[in-house]
Amino acid sequence: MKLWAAKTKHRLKLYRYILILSLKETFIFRINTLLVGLAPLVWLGTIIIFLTTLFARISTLGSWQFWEIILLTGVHEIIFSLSWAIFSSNLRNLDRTIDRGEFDLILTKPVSPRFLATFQHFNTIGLISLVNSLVLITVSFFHLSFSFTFFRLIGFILLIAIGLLISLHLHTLATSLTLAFIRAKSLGDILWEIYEIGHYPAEIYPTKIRYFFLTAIPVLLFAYLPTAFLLGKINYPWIIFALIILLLFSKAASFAWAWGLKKYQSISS
Amino acid sequence: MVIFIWKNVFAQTKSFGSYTLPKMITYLVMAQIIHALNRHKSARTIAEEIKSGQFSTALIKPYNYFVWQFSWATASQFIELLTMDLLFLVFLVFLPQYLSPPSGSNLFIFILLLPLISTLNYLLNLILAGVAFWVTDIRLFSTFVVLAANFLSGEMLPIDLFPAFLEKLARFLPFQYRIFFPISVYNNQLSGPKIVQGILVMLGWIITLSLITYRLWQKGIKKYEAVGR
Repeated sequence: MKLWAAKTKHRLKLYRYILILSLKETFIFRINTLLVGLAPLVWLGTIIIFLTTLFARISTLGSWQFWEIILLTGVHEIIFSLSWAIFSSNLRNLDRTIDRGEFDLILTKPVSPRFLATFQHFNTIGLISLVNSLVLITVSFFHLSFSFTFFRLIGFILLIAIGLLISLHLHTLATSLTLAFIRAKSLGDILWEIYEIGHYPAEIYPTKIRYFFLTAIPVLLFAYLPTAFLLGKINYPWIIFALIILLLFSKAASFAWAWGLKKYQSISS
Repeated sequence: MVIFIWKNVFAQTKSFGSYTLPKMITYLVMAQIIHALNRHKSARTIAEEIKSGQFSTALIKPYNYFVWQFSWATASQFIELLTMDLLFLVFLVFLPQYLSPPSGSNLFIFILLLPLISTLNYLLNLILAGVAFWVTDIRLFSTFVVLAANFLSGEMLPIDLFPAFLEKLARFLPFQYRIFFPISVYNNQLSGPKIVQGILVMLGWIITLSLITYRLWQKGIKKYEAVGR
């Protein structure tokens, strides 16, 4: 326990330095960062126009109303932008890190290679995208007439955290193949595409597909579960379900990373 | 995912604008296939060459740089198009009820339109790349333009379903000829005179964009500097 606490403290300290360094880098190219950060705003705009057009002719989508889906979109964007800011850009670029021989350098550092490969850079553009999602959530809150208890709110935040961790483990699973085969980036790209499934209510999918994306590739856990929980569409046992899936994927990611590392062969430097 | 969304929508309404479920799914599947023609990375590749100074070597080579880049783009588009055709095949074999077949003549016109789409798109890419003569890094600019252009092309939703002000804007710009117009032809949604009119406007845009590209590149090359090369 003492060892674990010391390790965590060391990693947090390290991450603080990574964060400061990334922020300093952002301020050097602030105009560029700001403009790139506005791109997700354009993308969000297209999603909203799409939904507005649909809801001009229908009243619900999979029994969800317009502002409920906007809330779902906002939550989905939170997971997407935090994943992007904290780890997914690092993991998706691992093939380039390996190509340039930089992974060998990571292996020689006195800290876990998995930690460094995952968190070596903080992508601040993701934070700008996060602001967009928070605005979306706030606006939808004003339009939705529903009340929730304090425990529902805690459950909602907990489910978002679980969603983010599962997203991390899914990315680690995909990246582990990069360690073994180097050119496996397209798997990460496919994963990004699959993320889109979580953009819409689970109710629009047939039961079998719904359960597949709740368990095998649990992208419906990212946004659907927290939002449905907050809106009172599902109940507390789903938190236990999400925790079990998290535990399973955490084990699978650790196993896959260890396997990838074992297979890894230096190809550069 | 698209099928499930639209199945839900069409469970509540029999038609959506002038679209039935098979027409809408056909539209979206074809949009993905045509997207292969719109996805090439000429703008970024050329802009990188301008930025790095590598473009200097292209200026002294005994061939037309634009034709050379166009050949590269077309070759990669062809491969991409073949891959995307597999998607169509999957629908044709497993989900034929979701596809609305075109008439023979419309299919023929649609196939004839493919090289025009590719040319139009290549010109848009050249204009985007030409900006690199003035701005060092076009990545942020191109991200904006590509996102907006794809949407205004009707990639996500047919433009005749857009809110009125956006539809007006989309119909005024050349982007609709990348996706919306060719698929409307494929989907048998346009009459003969409308198709002819559309092709003529498309050709007009190709000529206009060629002139813009020529002027832009002429000015850009004058301004171009490659230190140390």
